Amino acid sequence: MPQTFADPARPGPALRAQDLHVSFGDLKVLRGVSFDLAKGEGAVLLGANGCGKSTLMRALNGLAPVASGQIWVEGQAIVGAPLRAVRAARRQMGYVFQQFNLVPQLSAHQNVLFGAMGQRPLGVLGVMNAFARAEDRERAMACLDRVGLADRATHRPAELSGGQQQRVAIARMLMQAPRVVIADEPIASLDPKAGREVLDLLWRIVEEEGLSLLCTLHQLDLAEEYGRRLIGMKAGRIVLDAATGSVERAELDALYTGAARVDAAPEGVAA
Amino acid sequence: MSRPDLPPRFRAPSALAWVLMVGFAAFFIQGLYGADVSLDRLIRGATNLVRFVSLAIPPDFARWETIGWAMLETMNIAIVGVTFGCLLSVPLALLAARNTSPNAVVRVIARQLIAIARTIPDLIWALIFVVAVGLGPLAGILAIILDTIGFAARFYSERFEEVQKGPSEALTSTGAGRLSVIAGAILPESFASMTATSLYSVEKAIRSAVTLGLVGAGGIGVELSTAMRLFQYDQAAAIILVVLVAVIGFEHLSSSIRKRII
Repeated sequence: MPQTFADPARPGPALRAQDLHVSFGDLKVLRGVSFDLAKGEGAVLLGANGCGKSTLMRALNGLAPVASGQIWVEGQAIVGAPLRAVRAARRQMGYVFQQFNLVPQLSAHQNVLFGAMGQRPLGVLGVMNAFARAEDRERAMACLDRVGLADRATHRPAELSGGQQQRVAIARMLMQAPRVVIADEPIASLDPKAGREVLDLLWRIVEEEGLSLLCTLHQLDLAEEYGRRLIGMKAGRIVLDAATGSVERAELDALYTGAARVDAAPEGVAA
Repeated sequence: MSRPDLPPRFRAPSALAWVLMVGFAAFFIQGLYGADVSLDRLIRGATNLVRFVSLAIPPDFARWETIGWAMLETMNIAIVGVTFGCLLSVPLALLAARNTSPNAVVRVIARQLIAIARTIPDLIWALIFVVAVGLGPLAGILAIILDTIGFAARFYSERFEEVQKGPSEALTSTGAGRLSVIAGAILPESFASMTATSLYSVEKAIRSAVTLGLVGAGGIGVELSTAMRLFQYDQAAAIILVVLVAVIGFEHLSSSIRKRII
């Protein structure tokens, strides 16, 4: 098992959430979520559909509005911070989505180049294939090569399989060169074989680059196999947070029984 | 407990429906009466039409050179007007679409501007611009620009609103700015639909540009209205044939381009 990566120049956790509350209208989705993700740590977030996992992921990236609480990405607070600071924090954070979210009209290579969009002063102009710097074009190709898809550089997403599209999305995340990666059910729309390939690739890259990873999964077996730490959510709260070996299967199964959804469990009554 | 009654075949219309029906009928009858339709007038109209057709055949292409140049001017008005119209439509549509507009106030203003451009018919725009810049093709171009904005900006903005959220979110999550996200995800996703809308705008503009000449805004319409007023129906017929060929020709061209991109 690889050692936890720690850079003495950057003390503190890679990601810290403190008493996060998020509501959509009257529905309280996150009801006081706190956790730290250490540098180089790979954790799996578990929970039933509708328990608030995706909302937590979106909040960590500043995509969902936070009612109260605070988030630090590599020490940078983002709740209530000016947009410029939020963008700086987002640049540190790669995001892998369930639906891949590639731009369907553009080639795999162009999609990977877009990973650097937040880092170039001219934004999209700096990462358009026609105008991008030679190093960036070269690096995007290297990222594609690393996920084993250099030969598909000119293909559009629709010409690739689901697993290949997710690998392109991982190459885009690599291009971004983040410190933290959050992956929101990265294999939920893939078949078991492709899903395992994508997880292998994601975990290998995260370990090789010394990144921190928070990944939501639905398969308990895979969660125990890949994650060294399991975080369990139920009805908008974290109800389980422990090293993988120390968790009983019954505790994991309990995450999916009873009032697990935020819309099934009114505030205060939850599990 | 007995079974509920069978539902009736018809339901009595509501009071509002009655008011609307009676109002519509009254309006319709008054309109028919105002148009002064009589058998006598219909027969005279038919005779006049036959006389027009007999005078128009065979069409007189003696002035083909003038007609040709006027048709070219019409095409120029249409193409130049549509190009500027479509270019101006893009930013306006971005301001008007819910997912790309900076805020609600800007969105409402942009939507109103587009609505105004659309509500005023192209001939009225041409009349206004003839007053402003004088007779000739410039007035026609300006009228086409406004007419195109009313049409294209509306369809562009509707397309922007339909774009799937995922790719934009993915680019936002890399720390990219709003304009970059729009140019990187939303515009590429809308491109095919925007091209189709723009091509249709050209078809529409060629048809408009023909009639704009009737109010003096340049192009082949000027020739047509002159020929009609001088009772040179054979020349008028030649002009109408040229217009027909040009419009149908471009419609074929644009539908074959559309098939390729979609």
